[in-house]
Amino acid sequence: MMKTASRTALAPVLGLALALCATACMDPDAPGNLVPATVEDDPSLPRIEVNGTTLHAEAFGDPSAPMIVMLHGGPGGDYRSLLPYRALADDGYYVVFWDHRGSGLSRRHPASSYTLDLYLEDLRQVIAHFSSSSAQPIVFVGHSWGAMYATWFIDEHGDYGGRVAGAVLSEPGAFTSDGLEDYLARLLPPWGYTSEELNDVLWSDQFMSPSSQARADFMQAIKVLPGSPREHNDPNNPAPFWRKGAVVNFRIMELALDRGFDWTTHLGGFPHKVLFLRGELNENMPLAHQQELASHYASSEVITVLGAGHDAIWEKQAEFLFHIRAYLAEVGVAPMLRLGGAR
Amino acid sequence: MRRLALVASVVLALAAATRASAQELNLAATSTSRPSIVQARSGMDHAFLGEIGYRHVLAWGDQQLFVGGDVAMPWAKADFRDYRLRVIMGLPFGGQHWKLAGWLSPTLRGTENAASEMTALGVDLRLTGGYYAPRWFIAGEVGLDWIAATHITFSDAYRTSVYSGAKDGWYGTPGGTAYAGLQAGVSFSSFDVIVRAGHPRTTALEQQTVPLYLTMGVNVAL
Repeated sequence: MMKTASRTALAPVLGLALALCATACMDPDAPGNLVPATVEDDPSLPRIEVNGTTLHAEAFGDPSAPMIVMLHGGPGGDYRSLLPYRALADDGYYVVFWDHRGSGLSRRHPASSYTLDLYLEDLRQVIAHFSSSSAQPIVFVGHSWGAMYATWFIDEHGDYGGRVAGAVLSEPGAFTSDGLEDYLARLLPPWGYTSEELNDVLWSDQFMSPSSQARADFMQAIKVLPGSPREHNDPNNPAPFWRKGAVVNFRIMELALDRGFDWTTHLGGFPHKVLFLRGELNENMPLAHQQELASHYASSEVITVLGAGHDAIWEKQAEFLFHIRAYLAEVGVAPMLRLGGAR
Repeated sequence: MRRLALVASVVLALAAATRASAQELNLAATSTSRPSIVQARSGMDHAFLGEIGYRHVLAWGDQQLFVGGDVAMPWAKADFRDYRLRVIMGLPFGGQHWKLAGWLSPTLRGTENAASEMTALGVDLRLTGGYYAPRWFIAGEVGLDWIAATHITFSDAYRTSVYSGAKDGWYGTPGGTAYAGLQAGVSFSSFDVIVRAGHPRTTALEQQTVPLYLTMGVNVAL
């Protein structure tokens, strides 16, 4: 009976599919099929060339105004969900958005090309690219991994010759490799061992292999779209993204954990107050966790945004803007009161 | 009564099982005189899955020829949109104990996840070889579970939150799984109890999300 079934069902279907695919199937690796094209293939995307790579990047506001450098999550995220903070350009700030190396719509590189030193240098060169003067004040606004990235930069460069005047850190995960391991142990797996989400993610491995950056990025989307229940993000209002950088996500985490890191050694010397904004509902980053991270800075404040989880920066934009504006006023980074165009 | 005992034994064996797959037989215990073999397996193979199958033993000259099929589903949470169907043909060669078998399995898979609905067509080619005795066996296996094409329909969530321009349709040669492992089993009465374990990689030999497969199953010759 099964032999009959094989002849009448699967074999002809398979043969037909193979024949059709020889001429009609799409290429999963072609730009724009599974995931959007990066700056390498889409000339309409805004970009900058720094440090041997091409980054998807744009800035809004008067280029001579105090600079707000927005840093997205990940590693491997993008700045799509941070774009509402363009509103700060209307306030009189120069707001810089960029997708980190290998992330979002920035150029992809082989995994072996990534190093932590190269990755940190990217941020310095992005700042240099968008700076109008060597005295232009800078404030970081970073979310999750972006908040860790800002702390990494401050630990390495201090206030960068007096230019970094502050930082707003939304839900950083850890500032040391030991802390990151603890955080990942709370974060992963994001779903129960008998959940449909875990089923779906694992089962999908049989349908496509992450053997190219496009396929890997699409499969990363399969993994992140269900969300993480313990982060308590609003399933009806998910933070949008353009394209995950699966390879850089894996590689930067691997490098950081293999080499080990401690980005707290010089934070005590940072002369400005740092603002921590956290979502009330995120079980992976309770108040005590954020307070412990904040304690490494000489001056800091932790504010809890009620009714939101890890993606509070997306879900509670009005509250975040309120706190960011108040913080900028408190640390004395005054806006320029003339409006400029996009650069 | 005997049939009832058989069914009860299968259920009990399944309750003790851990994971599932396909071409596992004690080639020294199969016979054209009892040509129908029902299989049930469970364990970890890409996901926690359960599988039921059927093999028919045919005579092909002096050799046996196996034909059959199986259906598998991940069981973490029952979802009939996630499945794998295989038609299986197997041809063993060799002496009384040392045997080699080639297996060809056209495969149809389906799944639905947060980003897409996917249907994949492919072929699993497997080679098993080892020592087979009437009461036990141990064998190695290597295989290539190749995906010829995958049809993707992107979800509304993907189009809204990620990429509105994603293209629905068939995608050619999107990958697959290469694997190598061992299988071993004991045979008694009408039963084989078989454990299978190994390491899967992508067809480009990259690591997969779950770096091992481990299944346990029961075959019943009827």
